Amino acid sequence: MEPFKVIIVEDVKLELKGTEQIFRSDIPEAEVIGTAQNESEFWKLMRVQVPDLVLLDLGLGGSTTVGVDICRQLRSRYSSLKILIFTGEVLNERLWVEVLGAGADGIILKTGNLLQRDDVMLVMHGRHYVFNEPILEKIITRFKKLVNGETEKSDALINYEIDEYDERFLRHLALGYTKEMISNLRQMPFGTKSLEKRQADLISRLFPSSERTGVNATRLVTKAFQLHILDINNLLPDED
Amino acid sequence: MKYLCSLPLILLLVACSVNVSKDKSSVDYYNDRSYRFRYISIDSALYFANQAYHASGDYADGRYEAMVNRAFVAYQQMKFDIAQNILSQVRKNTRNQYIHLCADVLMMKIAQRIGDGETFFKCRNRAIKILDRIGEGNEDVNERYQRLVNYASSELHIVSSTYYYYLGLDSAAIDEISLAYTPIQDGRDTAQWLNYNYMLGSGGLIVGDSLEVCLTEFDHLFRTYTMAMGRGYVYFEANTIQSFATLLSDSVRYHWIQQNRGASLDYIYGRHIEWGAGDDLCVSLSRHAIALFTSIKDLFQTACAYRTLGETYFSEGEYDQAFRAFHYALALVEDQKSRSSYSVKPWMAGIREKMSLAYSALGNKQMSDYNRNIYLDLLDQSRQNYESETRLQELTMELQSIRLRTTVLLVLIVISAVLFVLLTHRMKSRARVQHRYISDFRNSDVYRSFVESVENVQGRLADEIDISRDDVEVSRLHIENYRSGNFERRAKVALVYSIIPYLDRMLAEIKKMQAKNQVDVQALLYASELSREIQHTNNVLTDWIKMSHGRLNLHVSTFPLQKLLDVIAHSRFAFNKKNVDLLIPHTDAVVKADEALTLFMINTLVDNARKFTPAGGTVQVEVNEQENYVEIGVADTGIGLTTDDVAVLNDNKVYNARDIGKPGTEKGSGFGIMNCKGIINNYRKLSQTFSVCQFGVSSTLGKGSRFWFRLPRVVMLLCLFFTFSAARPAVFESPQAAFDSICNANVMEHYEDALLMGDSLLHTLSIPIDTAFVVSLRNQISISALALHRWDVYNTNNTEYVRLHKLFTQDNSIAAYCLQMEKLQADGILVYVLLVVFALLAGLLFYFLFLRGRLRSDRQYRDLVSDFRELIRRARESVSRYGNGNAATLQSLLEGDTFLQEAGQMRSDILSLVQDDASLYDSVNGIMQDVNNRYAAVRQQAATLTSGLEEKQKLSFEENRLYVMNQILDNCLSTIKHETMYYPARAQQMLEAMQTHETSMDEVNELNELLTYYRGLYMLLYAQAERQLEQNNFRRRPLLVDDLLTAFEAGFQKLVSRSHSDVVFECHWPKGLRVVGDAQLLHKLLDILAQEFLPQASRLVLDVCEVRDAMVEFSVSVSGLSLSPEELDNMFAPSSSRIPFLIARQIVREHDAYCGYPGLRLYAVRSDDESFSLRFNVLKTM
Repeated sequence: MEPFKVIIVEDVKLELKGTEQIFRSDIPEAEVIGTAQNESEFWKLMRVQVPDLVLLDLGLGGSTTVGVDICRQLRSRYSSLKILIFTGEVLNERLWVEVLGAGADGIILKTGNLLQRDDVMLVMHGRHYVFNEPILEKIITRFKKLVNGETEKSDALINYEIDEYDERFLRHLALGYTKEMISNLRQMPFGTKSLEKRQADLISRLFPSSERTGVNATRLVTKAFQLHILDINNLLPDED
Repeated sequence: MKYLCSLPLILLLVACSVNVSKDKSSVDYYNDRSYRFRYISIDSALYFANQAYHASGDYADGRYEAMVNRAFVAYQQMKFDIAQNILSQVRKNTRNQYIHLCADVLMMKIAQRIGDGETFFKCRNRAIKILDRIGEGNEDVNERYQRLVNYASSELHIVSSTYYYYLGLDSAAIDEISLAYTPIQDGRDTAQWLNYNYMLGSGGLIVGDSLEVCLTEFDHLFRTYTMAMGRGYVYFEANTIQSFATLLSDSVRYHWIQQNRGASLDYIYGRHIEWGAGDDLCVSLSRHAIALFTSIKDLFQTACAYRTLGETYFSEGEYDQAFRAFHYALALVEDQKSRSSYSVKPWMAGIREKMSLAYSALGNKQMSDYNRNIYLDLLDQSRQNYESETRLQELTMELQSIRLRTTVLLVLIVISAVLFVLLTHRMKSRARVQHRYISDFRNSDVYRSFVESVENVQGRLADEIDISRDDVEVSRLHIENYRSGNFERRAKVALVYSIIPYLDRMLAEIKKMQAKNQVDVQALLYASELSREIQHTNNVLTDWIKMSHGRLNLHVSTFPLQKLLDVIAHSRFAFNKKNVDLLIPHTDAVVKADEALTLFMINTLVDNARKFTPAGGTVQVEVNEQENYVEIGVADTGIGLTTDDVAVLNDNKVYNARDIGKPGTEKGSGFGIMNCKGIINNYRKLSQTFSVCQFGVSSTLGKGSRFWFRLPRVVMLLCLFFTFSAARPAVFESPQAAFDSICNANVMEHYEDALLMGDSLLHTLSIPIDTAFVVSLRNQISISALALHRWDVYNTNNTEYVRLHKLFTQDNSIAAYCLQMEKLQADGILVYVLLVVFALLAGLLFYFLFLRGRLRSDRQYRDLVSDFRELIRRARESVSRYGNGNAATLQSLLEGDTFLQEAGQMRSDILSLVQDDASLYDSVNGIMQDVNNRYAAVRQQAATLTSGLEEKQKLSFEENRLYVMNQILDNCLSTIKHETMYYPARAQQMLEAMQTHETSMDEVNELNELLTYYRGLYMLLYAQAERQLEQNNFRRRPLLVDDLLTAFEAGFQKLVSRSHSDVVFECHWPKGLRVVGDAQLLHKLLDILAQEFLPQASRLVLDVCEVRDAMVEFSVSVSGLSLSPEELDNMFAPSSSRIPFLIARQIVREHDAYCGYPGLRLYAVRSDDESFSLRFNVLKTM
């Protein structure tokens, strides 16, 4: 691999020392052309020479998220610059999303194996979304949960024998339609009496017999959400 | 009138004196003999009475007199019904006042004996009336009748005296006996004279020094005795002998009489020597009396004499003999009872009482109780009829009303006379009065009392509002403090977290070495540096915790546990939903602890129990009071824990909750229990008082668990008092409770206790609180004394009981009642006749001339006034309800208050009544408007108070939440400090050792193990603290920079002047700028930045300006101080000397997180050699 230039932004000296050491020992292709402990020092360095890669810590001095803003500015000024976030914010998921939005190429958490040659190389090869293992684990956990949710929905439709009319009825109930309004929908060829029957029927399908007493429309709809029969992100009325 | 009455009598007398003079004298003779033999021989008296009766022929008076004499004999034989029959016949058939008098007096005697108060007084009043009448016209009375009059008059007073004496009205009895003297002072009627003297001698009717009285009585008796003996009056002889026996049975009196009347006593002794049983004079006397009474066939007195004999034996302790005597007496009583429809209840009662005593003395408790019960029943039956008293009151009232009516009648006659003249005028004036009444209605009592209640309620509500406002203010201040404290703790938690990257780097270095399987000296050196840094950060945290130690302490107070259990009871709903029973006991336990934390602990345990108890189970809160502590337990029928888990929970301060419980079951974080343990440990550290505090768990797998903790128990002063009084039976919470205990003791046959308690209670009652109560108490004491054979105590109490019983049940009004009734009858008729006539006349006149015309308008007026009053009454009633309510009741009152709607309806009804009269309409309308306004004002105030109280409730909830959160965070931080201090130090030690020699991979592995464990523990404890921070306390608001800085500038200027430094402080900001943030936190941030260098700086300037990207930058420039670039770079790094800056950092971080724009800055920048500035920025808003 071709040699490339790096600027490291890190406010804690001791950590900076460790990071430099990683570069020296594991990534000899990298030339550390400067290190900055605060924002103004960093911009000074940038004015002297633009590196290929900026390794950016999110918290500097008294600010814990200034890195997000620096990243945003860097991306707007130097579109081809590689920016790799190296942060100790292992729990602040919202911050990860913010900094990705600000244009970072990857996030490495200061835990586990820390900064590894492979990750830096991937960034240098132009890969976006480079993460180290701890952050990937989190992403995968979330992804699994999401997929499972969708599976549960299709399972629920089968398990509870929900047909399109049931779904439509529940969805419109959730949107605040009265039974009269629902019966007037074009794709709902039922009268209010028959809707009432359908509601009673749904209650008996969705609730075990011990929990059926006192279930009203609100409780029914809530149950439908809990069972993933309805999707809160996809709650729209039929176009009529 | 009275001349008219006496006319037929005179005519009759004249007629009789001519025609039947011969028969008459023999009849008179027989009657006189019969009278003479009354007290000598009953048989003779009856014989002569019969002779007179048969000889009377046409001489009616003689016959009726004979009948009276017969009746007397029947009375002495205790044939009361026969006597009464005879007497009523006499009263019916003769109009002779003298005979009537004698009959009435005899009737009084009978009534006295059988205890018929009403008859007694009826006859007494009649007799007195006759005496008055005779007294006014006595010049024509012949000698014979005069004798009858004298007899009747003295007898009347003697009987009355006896009657009053037995009622316990001693002074009335004495008055009566003194009146008896005049008619017999000539001494011609020996029997009455003896009777009078005997009465005086028999006791109770002479007052003075007891021994002197005793002598006087003895003299009277002795006089009666000698005379009766001399003249053959066996009855009085026997009576006096019996009285001697009673009098002399008391040894003190006996000796006193022997000393002063030795000769008389010797005489009596001499006469009774043959009756003697040894030397006992009293027994001899009693026996003699019995013999004499038996000889004259006087059943009543024979029984009395047996009783006296029994008493004499009893007092000498010869209970067998006494019993026998009482038994005879009882036999006689029973005999009489079987023969007559009238029984002499007081007499029977007396004998039954003695039987009870005798049985008790002989050890037959059952029979003793039986007789005492009969005795008490008889006493009750012989009490007088209360109905008479009530009837008397009614009659009195009726009489008064009749008198009033008479007066009104007279007044009405006058009024109706002038009525015709004033009719027109009156109609007008009446209308005027009605108008005035309405227009002056504001001065009426009804209205005034309404206004008064409105003002009262308003005053009360205003006070409550003030109090609730103060409370709200105090809560606000607390919340501000706690919030500020909370952010400080957040900063600490952030500091705690800041060592994790160092730790991770150390672990990463070791991992690299392990991967290469080669020791890297450089890496070891670096790790050593990192571990020093970790120690440094730990030290900062330790210093910080030390610094704030004691600043916010536990809020220890004394409170009843029930208060918290009531709050816990609110979580029933959640339990019901899960179909788990929540059982909460009632407790009076009072503990000393921190109320909010105790609630938190119970809540945590109850919530935990709910989580781990399946449907159908039970969660039971328990409160066990012990001597020093109260144990609060939460037991469930849940899944339970293994023995190992219980051991972990009980013994380890820190543990991983995931390791607790069955694998795969639902689990909590486990921090709840850890927090509870932490709180209990904090108590123990606080003071010796809390040494009893403990936390524990017991559990059986599959059956359930019980978590408990102990708090110091507080014994309230009140409780102390009761414990103390229980130890001393003489002091009772209430006399009634004490009385109940006495009754119980008697029923349980604990007579000693009953007697002791009764005696104490009697002495503690300084005033007779309640006669009925004392009567019952005396009875209970008597029962105890009877059972214990304490005769002296028994006598005192029983006598007192009988006296009080009589006093309490006596009917003083009977005499008056009879008189009133007679007057009433006479007056009543007259008044009614007059009234009816007048009413007819006046009614007709009024109706046709005046009333008919006025009726309609009057009815309207009445409706108006009554509606009006009703309206105001309702208003007042509704208003007063607002005076004593808490938040909940006020809210429901406000919601359920329909008064204003009802008033609106009533208003239109009322106004429709007066719509024809414009002026009346205006006044009525005005008043009603007023009532409405006042009412609405009260409602308004109540609404204000309700919202104030709700606000207060909300704030105190918030206050408690923050307080508990802070306390728990403190606990977590202190645990982190204590539990993890060892590891970095140990790591450092190992690393230093490695540098001194050739390091092996084994050592590296060992270090790795240590650090991995350290990290795991540290992360666990951090997560416990972090969990507390999940709740957001940030208050994001758009803020005007002007407001923020004006407040800051004023506060800071004050601080500057107080610091006595020469620093120059300036503040510049553009007007009208708005930012987004938490005002309190921003203020604190400015404070921290400005205060840090206040002591050293020569000049401090705060500038505010807008910077790029819609940011507002705050800059505090510090002049007169030189700091190196490195110092400036590390300004916000963890350091013991800059702890407030860590809080500043946290504040910026919070703004970052909650203002929706990451990238806010806080940094220090150098301006020149002598100055630098501290800057931060926040988001601008429109």
